[in-house]
Parts: sequence; structure tokens; C-alpha cells
Amino acid sequence: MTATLRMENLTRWYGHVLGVNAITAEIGPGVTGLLGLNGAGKSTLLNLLAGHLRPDFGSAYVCGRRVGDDWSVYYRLGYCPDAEKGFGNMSGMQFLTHHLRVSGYGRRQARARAEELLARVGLSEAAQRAAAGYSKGMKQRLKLALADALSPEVVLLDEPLTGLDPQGRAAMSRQIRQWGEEGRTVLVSSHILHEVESLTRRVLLLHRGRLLAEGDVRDIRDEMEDVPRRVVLESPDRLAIRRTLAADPAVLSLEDGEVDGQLTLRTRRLSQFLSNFNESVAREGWRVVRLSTPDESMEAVFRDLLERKGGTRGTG
Amino acid sequence: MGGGDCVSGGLEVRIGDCPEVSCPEVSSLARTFSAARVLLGHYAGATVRSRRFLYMLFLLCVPLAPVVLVRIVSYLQPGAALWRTEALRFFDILASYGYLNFMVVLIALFWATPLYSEELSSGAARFLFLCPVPRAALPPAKFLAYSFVSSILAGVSLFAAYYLLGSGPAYPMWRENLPVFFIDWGLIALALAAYGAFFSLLGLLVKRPLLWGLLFAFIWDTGANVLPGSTHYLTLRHYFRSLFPNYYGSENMFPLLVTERPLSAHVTCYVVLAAFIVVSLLWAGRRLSRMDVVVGGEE
Repeated sequence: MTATLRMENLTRWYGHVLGVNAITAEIGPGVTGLLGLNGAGKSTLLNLLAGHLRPDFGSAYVCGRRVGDDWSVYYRLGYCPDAEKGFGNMSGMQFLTHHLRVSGYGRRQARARAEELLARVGLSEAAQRAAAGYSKGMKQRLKLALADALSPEVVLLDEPLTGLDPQGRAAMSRQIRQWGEEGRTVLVSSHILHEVESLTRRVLLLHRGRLLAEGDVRDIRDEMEDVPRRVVLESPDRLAIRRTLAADPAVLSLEDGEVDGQLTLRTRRLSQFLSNFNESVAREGWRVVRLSTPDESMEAVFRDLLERKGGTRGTG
Repeated sequence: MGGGDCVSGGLEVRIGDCPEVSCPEVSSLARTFSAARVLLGHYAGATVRSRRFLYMLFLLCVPLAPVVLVRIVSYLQPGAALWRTEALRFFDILASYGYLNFMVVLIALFWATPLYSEELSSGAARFLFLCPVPRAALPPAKFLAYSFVSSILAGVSLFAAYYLLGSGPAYPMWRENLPVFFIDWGLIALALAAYGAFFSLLGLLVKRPLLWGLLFAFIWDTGANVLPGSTHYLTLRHYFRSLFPNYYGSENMFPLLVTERPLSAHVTCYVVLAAFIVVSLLWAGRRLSRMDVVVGGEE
């Protein structure tokens, strides 16, 4: 893998609070997810990579050029920040045209390129409206258009799917995957695991400013397969299900909440258990109102990883 | 994307990695000038459309109040000898005391102080600083837009005062003394630039820049001019006092208490003021290049 985005010991403090701590990683072409809970340091890391924050220690490099020292790095770097303001009184068209003109485009070229970008993100009809009055989703799309304005090799996206409706989400995901397939390096931050999984398998996991794990999300999941996981079931056929599950060797413990009508069980091989259970449901004709795996949340993933790795960095 | 190489900011860039439409062959300086030119047009337009423009327009109407009063008196006493001899003197006092010592400082303070810092606080810098252009292009562009628009506004106000005073019914003289108006206007524009460059830099360097700006303008700039010694050379007012043909300032109000300060040569004044403006702009550019664009901890 050729690294287009490189972080060397990136560290940033906010007064006495550590934003990100000694992050070293290399990212190559394709889509990479940046996962972490709120406050994990995702936006700080992206801002450091985009040159919007200066690191206290360490450096970031885009295509071999150090961010912060070399303005021409922005020919190769696009960034969609998690910002709601900064559009001034400009319309979507003016906003893009202005930035293209500042970036060196001629008046007509800038206008043509802005029209093309707005059409690509589905904002042609709203092009003349004030961008400050756009909905959150429209602003996201406008920022995405700006990030793509100079067709950069490296694109940083800070929570790009937040605030989008399902259609917008699908379109945005398609666009991000397409960039990855084109060979661009795309780093997408999110705190929602399945959101990132729908875009890529490669992830960096951040926790409290530290790089907790990096690699293929499936490897990380596999590594966690041995950790007992909870499954919560709600069904009118609870008694029949309980009898069957009690005999299942994969089930470590079973709790029948007679008051709330829920069955809570713990299993080591979650994916295998779910597969078996689905077969049983189909065979026995049980009606299942709800089935959830609360330990699959991001919080649980991080808690387990921390427990397993003693809070230090590991690889997935 | 084709083959071959291009030069971007003095660095070799493989064209295969370069955006097809914007592979630049420009130096850092040329890129700064080209971006500054675009930004200048943008900010000049934005300034004229802003609410601040209206406030400043209103502020610049304030010195016209005594002028209108004088004009009314002149109508009541047409042909008065006092009017003939004192109209031009009154204009000098108004230009140097009303405009230079008071309005210019206030306008520069309230207009220029947030000039660069508002780009950061409004969030516009988060997008602007993603453009492939040195951040140092921002200060000259915004500064020139401010200087241009504020000078035009001050010129309109000053001309209104000049015309009202100089077109008295008994002794119309505004045509023959036009050079007086242009010299005063030029010096007021220079003062707007010098104070504006300093206050806009202050907006980037310190917390509560308005307070520090007020202290500088009305305590230091005035006080150091009446202190014995050479401290007056460290004030902007000294140089404008030297340049203004018929200067009248607060120092003149208490001639017995104030030591007579020697004036500097015109050339010296222009050189010092130009250097002051250039250094302020360079400092602001350097500061912007090295500062965070987002507020700490924003996530």
C-alpha cells in the first residue's frame, strides 16, 4: 500500500486536556473509516490533518508534503469539516465560485466547475439560494462539493452522513465509495459502526485521543468473538424459546425477565448463535417482536477492546 | 490526467497527481497576489453590502452637524466678515481634530479590529484556508478593501463638510481651495490605513482588542505626544501632526501645559507610516499562517 496520508506522532493538547496523543498511522488509497465515540478526538485529528490545527508534536503528510508548511498541499487535499457556519451571505453557487476563483480558476471556468459540482451533489435547484439558509443535509452536500472542487487525491470527511435523510445518505455513501474506487484516499469519521462498515472495512479506532486499533473491521470483530455478548429477545413464544435455548451449548446464561417479558442471554459465538437462532425461528414458527445485541454498540466495542488490550494501542 | 511535470509553489509535482484543470505554474508570491486580487474584489463588495457600512456612514455624518450649524448661521448673517476669513480655518480644525483625531480613530477601531479575526470567528476561514493559497494573502486583501471603502466614505463626508463651508453665499471659495480638500482627504485616508493596519493586527494578537485599541489611541497616542522626551516618535499622531498643513489637536487646547514638540520631515513621516503599515500586514500574515483555524476543543 502506498501511503498518501501519513501521521507521525501527532499530538495536540487543549490547555491541560489531551486532544490526540502520539498518533502514528499510514493511510493509502481507498476509503478508511475513523471510528470513535464522541470526544474521542476524531475531529481534532481531521483538523490536524487538514492544517486547521497545529500539532504540539509530530507532523502530518499528504502525498509526502508536510501539512501546515506548504500551502500547495491543498491542491491534493479536500476537507469536509463538521461546520455549520462560515458561508456568509453567499449562495451555494457564489460560495463554490468564490473558492474556485481564490484557488486560481478564471471567472468562467469557476462558474462552469461550480455548476458541475452542484449538479453532482443535487443542489442545482438551490444554487442561487443563500447557503446559510440550507438544511443541514444541503450544507453537508455543499461542503462535499467544496471538498471535491479541485479533484484532490486525499479527501477528509468529518461525519459526512450526519443530518442526511436516507436518500441523501445513500447518495453520499455512493459518492464516497466511488472516490475510493477511483483510487482516492478518503478518510471518513463517524461514531456509528455500521455506518462506516457500509463504506469500508478498513478502520482506525480512536479512543480518548489514542489510536486503539487499526485494520480490517472484520479482524477486529473476529478478535472480539470470544468475548461473551448479550442478546435481548422479546417474543410471545418466550417459554418455548427459553426451553430450546436452555439446551443450546452456545448459550452461557439465560435470564427470563418475567415482568418485562424479555429474555436476556449471553453467548460467546454471537454470529453462530444468531445463525442457529434464525434457523430455529424459521423451523418452529416463533414470533419474535424484538431481538437486539446491545454489546454490539460502539461503546461496547471500545470497552471490550480496552479491557483486552489494557488501554494500549493494538492492531486488529 | 496526462504525463509530464509542473511546478507548484516551487515544488516539483507529478502532473499525474495534479488536478487536471488547475495544475499551477506559479510562485508563492504570484499565487498570493492573484488570490489577494480576487479576495479584494470579494471583500470590497461584501463591505459595501454589510451593516457595518451603514454604521460607518452614520458615524461619518456626525462631524457634519457643526458644519450644518455654521452654515445656518451664515445664512442668518450673510456676508459676515467672520465667515469669509474663518471658513477655511474651521475646515482645517474639522479635518485635523474632528476627522483625524476622532472619527478616523473610531472608524479604524470598530471597523478594522475584527477585520481578520472575524474570518476565524465566523467560520469562513475553515473553508477559505482550504484553498491552495498562502494564508498571508488574506491580510492585504481585506486591508485594501477596508482602506478603499473607508477612504471613499471619509472622502464623501469630508467633501460634504468642505462644500458646505466653502460655498458660503457671500464668498464662494470651494473651487479655488480644492487642493486643501484633496491634501486633507489624502492624509485622512493614510491615517485610516495606518490605524486600521495596527488595529486589525491587534485583533489577531490580543484578547479584548477594542479595549487595547482605545487605550492606544486615546491614552498612548495622545499622552505620549505631550510628554517630554522622545516618546512622541512612537506615536502615529506625531507623524500626522507633522504632515497636516494646519494641524489642530487636543494638544493645542492647553498650549501652556504642553511642551512644543519638533515636527518630523514629510519624507520621514511617509517612510515611517508606510513601513508601519507593511510591517503590520506582514505580521498579521505570519500570525494567520501559524494560528489554529478552529477554536480549541471544538468537536
